[in-house]
Parts: sequence; C-alpha cells; structure tokens
Amino acid sequence: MIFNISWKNIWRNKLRSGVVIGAMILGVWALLFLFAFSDSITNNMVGNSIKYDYSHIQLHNKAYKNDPTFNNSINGPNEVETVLAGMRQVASYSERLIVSGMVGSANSTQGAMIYGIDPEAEAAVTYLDDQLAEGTYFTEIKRNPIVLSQHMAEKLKVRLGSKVVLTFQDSRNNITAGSFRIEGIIKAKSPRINEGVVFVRKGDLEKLTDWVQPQEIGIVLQNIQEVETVKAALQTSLPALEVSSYKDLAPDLEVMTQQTKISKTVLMVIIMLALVFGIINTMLMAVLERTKEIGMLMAIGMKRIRVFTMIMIETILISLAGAPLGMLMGYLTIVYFSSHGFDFSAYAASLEQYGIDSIIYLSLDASNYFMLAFTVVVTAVLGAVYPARKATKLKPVEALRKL
Amino acid sequence: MLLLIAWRNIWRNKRRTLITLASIGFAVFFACIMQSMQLGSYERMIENAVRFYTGHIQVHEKGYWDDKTLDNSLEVTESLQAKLSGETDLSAYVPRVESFALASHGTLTKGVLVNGIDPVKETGLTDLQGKIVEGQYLSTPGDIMIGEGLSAYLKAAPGDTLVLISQGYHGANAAGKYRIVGTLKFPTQEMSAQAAYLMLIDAQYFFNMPNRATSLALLLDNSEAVPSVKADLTSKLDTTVYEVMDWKELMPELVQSIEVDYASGRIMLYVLYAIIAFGIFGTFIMMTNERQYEFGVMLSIGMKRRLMQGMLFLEIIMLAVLGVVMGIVAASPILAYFYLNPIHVGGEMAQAYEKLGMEPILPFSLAPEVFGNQAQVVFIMTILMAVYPLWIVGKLKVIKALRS
Amino acid sequence: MIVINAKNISKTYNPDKVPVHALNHVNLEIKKGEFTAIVGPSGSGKSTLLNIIGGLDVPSEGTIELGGEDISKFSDNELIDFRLQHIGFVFQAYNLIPVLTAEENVEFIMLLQKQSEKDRKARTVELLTKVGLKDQMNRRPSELSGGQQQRVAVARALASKPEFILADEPTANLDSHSTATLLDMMANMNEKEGATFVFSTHDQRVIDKARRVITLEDGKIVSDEVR
Repeated sequence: MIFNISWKNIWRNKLRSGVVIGAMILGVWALLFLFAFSDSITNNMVGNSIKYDYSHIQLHNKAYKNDPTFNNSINGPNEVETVLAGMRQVASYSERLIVSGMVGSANSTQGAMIYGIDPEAEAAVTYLDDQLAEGTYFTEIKRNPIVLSQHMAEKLKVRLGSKVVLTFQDSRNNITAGSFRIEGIIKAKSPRINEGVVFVRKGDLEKLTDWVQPQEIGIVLQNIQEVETVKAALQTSLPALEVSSYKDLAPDLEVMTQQTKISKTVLMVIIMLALVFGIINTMLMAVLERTKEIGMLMAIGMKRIRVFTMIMIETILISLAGAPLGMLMGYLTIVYFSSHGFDFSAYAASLEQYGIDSIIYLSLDASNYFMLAFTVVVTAVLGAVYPARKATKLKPVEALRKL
Repeated sequence: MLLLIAWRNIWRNKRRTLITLASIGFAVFFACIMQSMQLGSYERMIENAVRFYTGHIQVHEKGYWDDKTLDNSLEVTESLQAKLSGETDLSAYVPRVESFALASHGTLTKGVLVNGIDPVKETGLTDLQGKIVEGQYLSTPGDIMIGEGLSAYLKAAPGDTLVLISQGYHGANAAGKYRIVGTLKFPTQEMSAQAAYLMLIDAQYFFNMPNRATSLALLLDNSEAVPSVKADLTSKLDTTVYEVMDWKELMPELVQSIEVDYASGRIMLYVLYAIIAFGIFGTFIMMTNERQYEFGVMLSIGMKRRLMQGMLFLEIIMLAVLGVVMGIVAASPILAYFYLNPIHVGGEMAQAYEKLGMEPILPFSLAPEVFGNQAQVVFIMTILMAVYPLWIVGKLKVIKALRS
Repeated sequence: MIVINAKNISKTYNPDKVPVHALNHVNLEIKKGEFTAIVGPSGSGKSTLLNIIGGLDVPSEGTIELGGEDISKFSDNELIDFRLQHIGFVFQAYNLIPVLTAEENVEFIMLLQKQSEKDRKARTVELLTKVGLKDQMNRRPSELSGGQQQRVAVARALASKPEFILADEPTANLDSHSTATLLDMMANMNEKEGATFVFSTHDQRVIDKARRVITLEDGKIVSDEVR
C-alpha cells in the first residue's frame, strides 16, 4: 500500500520527476562511458607494453639487472631451452643478445640498445613483424640486415636500404663497429623500443661481439593468467636465473592500472554526490509542497515511521528509475564504440609517447556495471534519508494550518 | 526595487536556495580543484621542459631541428650575439653543443649524449649546479659531469677519467680524455643514463668546431613574452641562415599531451556540470510552479511580462553568482595551500611519474582561468536553463494563474 | 461618467468540445463613484464578468469599453499597461508580493507607473495611514493578519489612482471583525475620495453595504438593484 502511494506520488509532477530521472540517466551513462574510456586507454597502453615489449615473463642472469655486461649472461641456454620446451603453458620464447652502443648514419649518431634476435622466435614473442611499416622482416637482405623504428629512422635521417654503422664494445672490451643495411622499419607500439632499440640477427651480432650466450629470454604464455604460477615453476627449475613477470619488469604499468582505478572511483564519488544534491533538492521540495497532505495523513493516524518509509520508497524509486536506462545507454554506446573505435590520429604523436594506439576501441569489464549499480543504490538511499526525515518532523497541526 | 525583490525572492525558501547553492558550489569547488591540478601540472611540465632543456626559444642554424647533426651547427658570431643581447625581455641566452659519443671507463663503454655548455649561463637557465649529487660543478677545461645512471653503468665516480670517442664537425675524428668532477641527478632515467656535460670550449675542441654551437637556448623574463620576442628575432635575423623556434614548436608532443589531457578533463567536468544542471533546473521548475498565483497577481496589477522576466532572470543570475562564489571561496584556501605546498607522490606512483619524465609531485595552479572557466560554464548553463522559467512567464495566462 | 461599459458580452469556454456559456449577452454600465456588488451563486459567471471588465480575459462576443476606450483590440502588453494605469485590483487572498513590506507593496505599483520617488513615498504614507496601517508599514505580508493584508491591497489598488477598483471576493478569507473594518474603510474611500468599487461576492455583509447590487444567474443579469 505504502509502496503504491509512493509510486503514484512520483508521477504527480512529471517534469520534476523527469529532472531526477534525467540526471540519473545522464550520470550513469556518462560514468559508464568514461569508465570504458579510461579503462580502454589504460588497457591499451598496458597491453601494448606487455604484448610488444615486456612479454609475460623474462629470464636474466641474477646479476644482469645491476651490471648488464657479457659476463652476466644466461649461462647454459640449452638447459633453459629444455625446461621451457617441457612446460606446456609456454607458448613461445625468444633469446636475445643485447648490447648498448651507438647507431650512426651519414647524418647523425644516436645511442641505442642493439638486440640480436632470432627473427622467427622474436616475431612469436613480441610480434615484431606485425609492426612493420615499411620493408621486409629479415627475409631479403642476406648480409647484416637491421630493423629499426620509424622514430629512430627519422632521427638518423635514413630510409629503407640505407646503411647504418653500429658501434659498441665486444666481449673482449674492444670497440668494434659493423655496417648494417636497413631491411625493415617498424612502427613500434612500445615507446621504449620506438625510442632506442634496434634489431639485428643474433648470428650477426654474435660474430661482432664474439659472444653467444643471450642476456635475456622473453617468454609468452598460452594464458596471461598463469603468469604467477609459471613464474614460480620456472624459478624452481632454474634457480640460478632471475625470473621476472611483466609486473616485476614494469611496476609502472601496475601503478597506471591502479591510478586509473582510483581516478574512476573519485569521478564516480563526485558524480554521485552531485546526484545526491539533485535528489535531496527535488524530494525536499516534493515533501514541503505536500506538507498539508502529509499532515493530514499523520492526523488520520499514519505513524511517522510509515511516513518515513513512504518518502524513502518514493525517493529510492525515483532515483533508481533512471539507472537501468542509463546502464542500457552506456552499454549500447560502449558496444557501438567497441567496433567503431575512437580515432585519435590527430594526437598520434603524443599518444605514441605513451604507447597508446591512435584508434581506441572501447570495452568495459562487466564488474564495472555491478559496482556502479551498487553505488547507485547507495546514492539513492543517501539522497532519500534527509527528505524522509524532514517529512517525519512535520507537525500535523502546523502542517494542516499551512495552506 | 527589482533587484531587491529578486534578492528577497531567492531567500524566500532558504533551504531550497541553500541546497541549490550547495550543489553549484560543490561542482565549482571540484571543478576548481581539478582544473587547478591539471593546469598546475601543465605549468610544471612546461616549466620543467623549458627550464630543464629547451628554454623558451631556441635559435639554430636553419635546418638543424629537422636534421640534428653537427654539420648544421651555427657560428656564434659577434653580430648574432649583439642582436640577441638587444632583446629587452631576454634574461639569458645559453649556447650549447649537443651530440652523441661513446664514453669508456676501463673496460666499459656506453653511448652518451654529450652536452657542451657554458657552465655559468647553463646553471642560470637549468640550475644544473643544483642537480649535483656528488662532486663538483664544471670549473676548468678537461672537466666532465655525468648522470648518476651513467656513472653506475660505467662504474665511474668523480676523480675517474672518461674517454670519449665520436665523430666531429664535417666527419672529423673526435677523441678526448676528461676527468669526472661530478655526478648529476635527473628526473628521467633516460637522461640519467646518458647525459654527459663538458665545458663548451672542450666540446667545441672535441668535435672540432671552434666557436660553433648546435643551439642557442633563450630564457625570457616571462613566458608571455615568447611571441613578441620570437617575432622580433625572426625579423632581425636572416631567416635563410637561422631558424627561431618557440617551446611549442620544440616540444609538439608535450603541447599535444596537454591538449589531450585538458580535453578529457573538460569532458569530465561537463558531465559533472550537466548533472548539477538537472538539479538547478529542478529548482527553477519549482520556483516557477509555486509562484504561479503570485505571477498572476503581478500581471493583473500591471507588471509587464518583460519586467517579471527580468526579475526572475536576476534571481537566477544571483543564484549562479552566489553558487560560483561559494565554490570559489571554498576552493581558494585549499588551492592556495597546495599551490605553496605541492603534494609529494611516493612509492610506486613516483616511479611511474619519473618514467613519464615528470617530477613526482602534484602541483596546483592559481591561474585565473581555474576560476574563470567555472564561472563561465555555470553562467552559460544557468542562462540556458533560465529559458524555462522565462518562457513560462512569457506564456502565463493571468486567469489560470490566479485560479491556481 | 461611465467608467465601465460592457455591451452584449458573451463568453463561451470550450467552444469546440463541450461549450460552456459562462456569460450570455450581458450589458452593464458602471458609473464613476459607484459602490457595486456583483453577486450570484458559483458558476453564475460573476468571476468571468469581473475578469472581462478587469481586462484579464477577453469576451467571445461583444465589446468592452473602459474609461471610454475599447480594450477588445488591445495586445497583451497594452492590456497590462492599461490595467496598471486605470484599474486597481484586490483579490481574495495572497494579494501582495510576499517578499515586500506593506510599504514596498504599495510603492511598487507606483514604481511600475514610473512616478517620482517623492510622490511615491508621500502617497504611500498617506494611503497606509488611511487604511490604518501606518505602524505596520515595515512588516511583510506574512507578519500581517488577513484583514491587514487586504487593507494593504486596497491601499495598493488606490495608489495607482485608477478609474475603478475591482475586488474579487475580498472578504472571503476574513473574520467578521476584519470584514467590517475593511468594508468601512472602502466605503469611506468611496465617499470621501470618490473611488469606484466593483466587488464580486457572496458575502452578505458586503452586499448589505453595496449601493448597487447586480445579480447574475447562468450567465445573465437577473436583477440590477440600486439602493
């Protein structure tokens, strides 16, 4: 019965109820959209870094991190290969010989990390071939091919087919140099690689450095969820090595994800508080406008607690009325942009710095909808308490006298 | 009198007015804080970049920026110096030589970014001296300072000798030995791992380019003077020989990042404002509805609709002004406090900041647009919503209103 | 002098759906200085008639001349201005602008007429003194009794120096003491200042005081009795 009265009361002033419902629709819709937006961008950035740079797990010599020299390479890579081959969770892995040096062209000289890789293995781990913007991927040039990023090519003023000279220290601490020809130019999705990594064949680099043991092995798993278990398993079977997950390698990615979560929460709280103001304002008016009526209800014997309940129900109903529609609109918007994507090519230069694609496809985890639904209910209850309390404070006699 | 009526009218229903004011004030408060943090971080980013590296304006040999090679360096002539010194808003100009070299210490070698600087002028621009963590600042020829990261990599500390090898001006061979006098701390790991500083004359000698520099970084008294100084220099200097670029051209990515971030911030604020707008609209509806009879009486006794609309409009504007003022008053002390004492970010968050090349602090801004923007948005929004009550008064039927 | 001349006035509501003939060919002349009550049961059309002669509503048929001017062709704005300059209004209740004091309410209408401040102040004090509320000048309507509020309304109606004052059930919400005071005061104004009053009422006390009583029934004048 009380529920019934409450429900009918909502429709007494349609415009006013429409205001609360409209605000809620907008709030829920906008929040879902903004959630999807910030999550999608963060996931894109984090995902690109993991997929195209850090991989799921990396292996190093325990001393390599602090002292990245030839002596601190992965000893006995064959043993490691056997272990990796025996783990069904491991999808692929790539051994890298890494030296720090300079890349010089006729025009310019830049500092760079030189990665000696097995092209096929690397492609299976960091999808290097997919990122090719121009040229080919270690298939055409027979002698000393090199693949580098567009960014690096621009800095060096070189094109496909240009010659560059790599200068670095070999394993006997002599400065050596090698001439390489650019076979491919990649549009690297990882800012780190874009900025300062060049790729050559591991065999070519082995000859120049007179060193064969890799310093790094990047591993991709069948399923990223298994990263912690595989990490533990690898650590047990390879106690001499440092086994790092992408979280260990790039703690900033985790921070980024956390920060997105925090800013989403802050945004949600602010928007919901704004909604609470609107709800209180509107419902308080509704209560005060009905002073006489409520006075009459109390005069004929309606208990205060029932008046309270009535207004609570009314407020909560009106507050929740818009939420499902807002959710639906938010969902549809996200579905639309999950296939169409937002084109940010105009800002590509800035996004590239952070490793974000220039077209963002929206997606939002279902948990967000549940969290938002819960928050909306809390908001509705918060907004309802004050007007409902106010209604019970009305004195029947005064209320009746007031016309 | 109209003003008086309007003022009293808004206080007729104190509770409603206070709730409305609180909601406007709340939105303005958050918007101020958010924008202050945004603008603060931009100011800091720009200031960092300008102060740390580019200066407000740079003068190069034409073509240097597209092709940063020593061959595109400029000669620091008397006439060029005279023209720069003649600029009124210029506080300093700093010549630099920048190029890559291999640095070796013992058996270790690494690619480094060699910066040839005028020690006194450079610290005036970038406070390089303040970045020393160990040892001393450059003082005599043969000195070199390196980043902490580089020092760790090469296992080289102040007192050790570093060998530099590179290619100089017009392909000349470059080699030299330098004594490390100090190590430097940088906000970015990249800089820390590859920066090396020589005295300008050493760098010029090393790269075989006497009296030449790759860039002249100009520091102005204030950033507002950038356009005028740039225009003046462009007219004074031979633009077939020199290029004059301001920081926006020097750092297009930074400008773009700021634009993107600012735009996303604005979208969030607009959502917040739109929701507040619904609440305000509700107030206006009620304000209009419950006064139908009163409006009827006023119309009957001969008050023109225009005048009544004017009165209502005044009420609405007053509400908006009060709300904005409340929000700003509430936000100002907080902003002022954090402006003077920026929040320091700790832990992993700090690492993430450093990785993005930012200092791990959350600076605030007190720029007038922090407040101006909010006032503007609230007014536009309020005026848009005022259309409803004004329309109601415009089409109000006297008899119907009197019967209500 | 004829201040109100209504000729052959008809008013039909809902002409398309269910026509309600509120007024049916009514002719009415009111002269300067009259103290007239229009009476009749509810639904008789007295409110409609009062609205039409007050320029608040327009007749479906017939012409209405107020102070010698045909107002049926007036625009909304011209009507508002005409009411301001020529007609005074007293309503049943809630006559006054709630946020203004008694003094300001009276002064307000002269402000609308753009009278000088000096004239306004002087006349306000004069009128409030006449209605016996000089001491309550600075009170807001909510701080005045119903009767006092109506007296302020009368003062306001007189303030604009109108040709006539229309009072729609002015005593409906008043107790008998307040009613008597208000009526005496209005009668006094009528006699001493020659102010023309037209009431709509079904309050016998008002009818007793009136010097002309027009009775309406089903939209027609059934009696017009001058005492």
